[in-house]
Amino acid sequence: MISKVLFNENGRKWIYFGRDAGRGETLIDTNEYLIIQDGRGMLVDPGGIEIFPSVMASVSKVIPIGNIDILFSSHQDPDVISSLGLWLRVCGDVTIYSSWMWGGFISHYGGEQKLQLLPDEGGVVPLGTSRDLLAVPAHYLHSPGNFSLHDPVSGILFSGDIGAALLPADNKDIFVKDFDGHIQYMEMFHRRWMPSNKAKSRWIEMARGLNISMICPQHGAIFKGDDVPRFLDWFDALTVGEVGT
Amino acid sequence: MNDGETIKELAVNIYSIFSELTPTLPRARNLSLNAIVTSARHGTQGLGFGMVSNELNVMVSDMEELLNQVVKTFSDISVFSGQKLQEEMYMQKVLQAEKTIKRSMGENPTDKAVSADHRQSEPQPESQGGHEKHNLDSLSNSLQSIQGKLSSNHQLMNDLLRKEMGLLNQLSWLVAQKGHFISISAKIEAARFDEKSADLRVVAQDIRQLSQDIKELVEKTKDNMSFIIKNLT
Repeated sequence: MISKVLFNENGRKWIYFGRDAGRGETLIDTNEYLIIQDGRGMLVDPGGIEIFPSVMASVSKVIPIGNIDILFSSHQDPDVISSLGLWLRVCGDVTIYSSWMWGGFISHYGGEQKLQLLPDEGGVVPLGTSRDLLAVPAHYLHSPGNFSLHDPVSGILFSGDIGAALLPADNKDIFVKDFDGHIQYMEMFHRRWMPSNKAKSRWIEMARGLNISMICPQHGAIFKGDDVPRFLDWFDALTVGEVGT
Repeated sequence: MNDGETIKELAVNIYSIFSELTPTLPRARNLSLNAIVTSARHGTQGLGFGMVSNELNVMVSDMEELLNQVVKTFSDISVFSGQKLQEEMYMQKVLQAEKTIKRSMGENPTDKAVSADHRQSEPQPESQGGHEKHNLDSLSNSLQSIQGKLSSNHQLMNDLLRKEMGLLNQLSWLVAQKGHFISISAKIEAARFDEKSADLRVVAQDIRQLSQDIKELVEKTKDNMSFIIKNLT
């Protein structure tokens, strides 16, 4: 599994994990992110049960798992959080942050849970001494109870399935290198998985008001620099909620 | 087919037998009522047959109670089997994680699949030596906890399986001994009547057939359960 430090300043660190070469052929590739603040950790979309061993091994290089306090689940899908039962077993005392809609659903992934269910308007996700990580609404993009996570310190916006791309297996680029060439890998996904143009416009308007250095999706490559506004413009112009391209 | 698949198939078989056994209860109840009504039609001559009919009624009530317990216990066994599978899956994943960490500790800390430029960006541990060893200890604790749950689950399953077998044996005895006795008595009572009382003979024949049907179903359940017990305990 590839890992990369995306940000490391003033006691805050963002680490990317993804492109698990050992995952089963039928599993969609996923990105996991670890945020560390004051030595305490938050796993953002910790992933499915099948890739737990790889994520666990990668995380072990960075932090004692007992220091992971929070699992952030952007929504309820199995590739996002079906590893929940295992993390609860190995981490000890962790709190799960997710939409109020999914408390009863993700509990089916097992374990004794401490849930912090977010209201539709989102809210602060406290990590260590910090109180600036913000769950921002991304409902219907694609899940009806969906959150992005914004960090004003690093400018990183974790966007869940927004900006996701289904990349060919041999593409190991963590960052988007050629935006126009990248469109082919994300266009169908957004048209089909995102059901609402209204929700899309609302999210874009919200995103344009944030300071964003990187947009980090749960699948595919990360947008940084000029590719951030480029992605927002592209997404703005795209009609979603359609079958096919 | 491996043992796991065989057990799954047997469990499905047992549910299917239950679905055949359950309708035998109303069938037996109807038969018992029919026997009582038929015996009453023969007045004092039918008193003996009436007693047999009452015995049949009592047997049906006993059967109903036992069968309810058998189905409930089997349902509990299924729940524990599901929990066992989940714990085993957790154990497998934690063992895989342990193996992956150990392999990573034995090699260069970088992943084999990481290209050169990615290696430069490999996150450095918060302290010298990384956290693998510490996390391996945490995994080991989790494994112990999972093994503890599996062991307790195993004990509970054993108890339930033995309880189930005991219930099936009771059911088997009820049908084989009491059912046989009732059907023979019914036949004897029916034989005491002349040719005009063929209705009693029909009822006696029905009782016999019902006893045989139930006996076969219970024996099939026992066979399936025996295999499950042999392989799960």
